[in-house]
Amino acid sequence: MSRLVQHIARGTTISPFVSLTRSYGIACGYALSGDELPTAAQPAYVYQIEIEAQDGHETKLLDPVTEIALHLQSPYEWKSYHHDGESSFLLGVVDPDRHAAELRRETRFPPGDRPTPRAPQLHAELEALVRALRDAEVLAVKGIPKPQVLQRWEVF
Amino acid sequence: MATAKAKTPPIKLNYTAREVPLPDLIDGKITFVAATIFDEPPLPFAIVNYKRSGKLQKKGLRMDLDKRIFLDHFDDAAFQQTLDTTAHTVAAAIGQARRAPAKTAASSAGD
Repeated sequence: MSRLVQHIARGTTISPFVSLTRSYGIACGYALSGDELPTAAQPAYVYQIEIEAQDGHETKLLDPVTEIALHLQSPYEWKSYHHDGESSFLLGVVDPDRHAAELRRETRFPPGDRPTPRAPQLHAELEALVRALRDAEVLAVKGIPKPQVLQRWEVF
Repeated sequence: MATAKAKTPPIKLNYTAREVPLPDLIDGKITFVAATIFDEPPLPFAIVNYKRSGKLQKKGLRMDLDKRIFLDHFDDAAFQQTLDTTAHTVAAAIGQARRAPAKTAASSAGD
């Protein structure tokens, strides 16, 4: 579980997982961001793959949201994956570069509580959940066998 | 089981990108020169162009701006360590430029 969360939330690219997306638009975005802008002569690629449940002997798919949710704490527990900031805090998690201020906004507490001023708490589980939802992400364990590639589009 | 289909013509994507300079970002033998960022759609990635030992590299470094990391890994441990330690600073500089309104689109594709 830790490696799965690290893969999504911390960008650990050396991992047993391959990130896939259910969104063509997001796949195009990833395709654009190679080591140089793609051109008609040197395009980037978007792959459409088809993995059926019975093909699972070779490729195992994981829905990261489901996997993470299975390991979340009970609501009775003191520790929780929940944030304690404003609702706009999630904007910062979804888009931390452009909504950085939301991540730094000081947390409000009930009258009488005087804790050390701080930003809302953000646990890796919540970060991974939000990123996975944002990117319509599905994880493949190990690789994608060639026969499961349905289509390859050249994009630029 | 799926089978590969015939090759399709390249698809021209609608996007707007621009290059932002990265002045004074030098770490040892690496100079970060400029970054290509995407305004539309607003992708959380950048392509960072850099000089290594004074020589401009043809291929840029892929950066995840949200995670503030370079996505590429190199066998040269010293080089990799420099990238790991400077990624946050480079991402912050790019982020600042990204949040500023685009004056002109340096490059764009699409219709």
